[in-house]
Amino acid sequence: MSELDENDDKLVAKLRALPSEGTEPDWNQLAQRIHASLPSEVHRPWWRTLLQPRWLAPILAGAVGLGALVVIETRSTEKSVPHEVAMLHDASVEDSAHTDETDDVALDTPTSADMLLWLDGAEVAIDSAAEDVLDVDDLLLGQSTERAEGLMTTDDSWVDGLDDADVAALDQWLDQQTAKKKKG
Amino acid sequence: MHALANTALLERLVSVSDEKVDPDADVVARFCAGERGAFDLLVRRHQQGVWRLARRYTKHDADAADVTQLVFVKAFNALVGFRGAATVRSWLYRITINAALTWVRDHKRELASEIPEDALVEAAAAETAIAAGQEAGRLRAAIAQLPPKQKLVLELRVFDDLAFKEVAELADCSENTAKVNFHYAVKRLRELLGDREGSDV
Repeated sequence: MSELDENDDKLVAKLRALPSEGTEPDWNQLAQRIHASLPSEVHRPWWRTLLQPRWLAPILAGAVGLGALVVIETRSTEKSVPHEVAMLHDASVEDSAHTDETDDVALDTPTSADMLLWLDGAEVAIDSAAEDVLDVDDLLLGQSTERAEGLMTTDDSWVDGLDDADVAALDQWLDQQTAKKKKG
Repeated sequence: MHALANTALLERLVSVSDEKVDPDADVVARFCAGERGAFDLLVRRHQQGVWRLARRYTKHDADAADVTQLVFVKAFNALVGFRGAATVRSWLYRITINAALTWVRDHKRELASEIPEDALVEAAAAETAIAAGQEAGRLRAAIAQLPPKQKLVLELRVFDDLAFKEVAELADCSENTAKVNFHYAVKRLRELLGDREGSDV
């Protein structure tokens, strides 16, 4: 692009010298008309009031204080979480130890909260909340349970058919149940 | 060595002088501080430029006055949010262009049914005006034939006496593009005027 030459400059000067289009209004009258159409007060947004120097110090102090509170609260929460986890862990260890001592038969019992059972050919999940109702231990006793289940009939003649080993197993099971009920 | 140092010094002076401080900045600050009267000062400073700019779009004196009033009402409500990225003048002119374009769009039907006050100057009568040798009419007719962008840039630069930076802001282009458009507008005008301007003057 070449620069404007002398003739270009002369043309621009000529354009600048042109009178404005139309007839210009009375500027004082127009200014008064504009003044009359404007509100009497300056509308200032509320946040601009807060930006004044007299408000800055309290606002900054408040913001710093709030920030400090948030930091302190966040740190205390972070510290308390591992403590609670440790407590839960200890409680689960205690429970499992207790089970080992008192209930030798239930060694194979799953320790998770949910247990899977087969009922009527279907897999059913039972959580720990249902243990008290269903007495899950009885259902998972293994061989001893199978023997005990044989007792659950209305005909008492089965007693005569028991040998010494069966009687001993039954005695042991009853002792366990009694001990459990006392503790429960 | 001294010549190089002087050149560098001159370049620095030029760059500093290019970044002029907005002369209306203090008035805006006073207005934002709640001084209602500061806005009257802005009106008196810029109403003429706003009116002329609006007049080029509306083609009617009274309509230009209405648009001018509307521009200052809008500016009054928005000035507290003015961030100072542009000068107050170019900010006002931006509002003016938008308001004038809206006004022209809203009154298109009325304008079509009326005869504009300067109808003789417009494109249809351009050749007649040129032939008649009416100096002002001939120049305005030539300007009316420029492409829109070149016309806008030329008018803002020549009639409104804006810096290229301000012209660029209003024309939504870079400063260099504004300069190029201005250059081509002048060259095109000389072609339209039969390249007689230089010799005439």
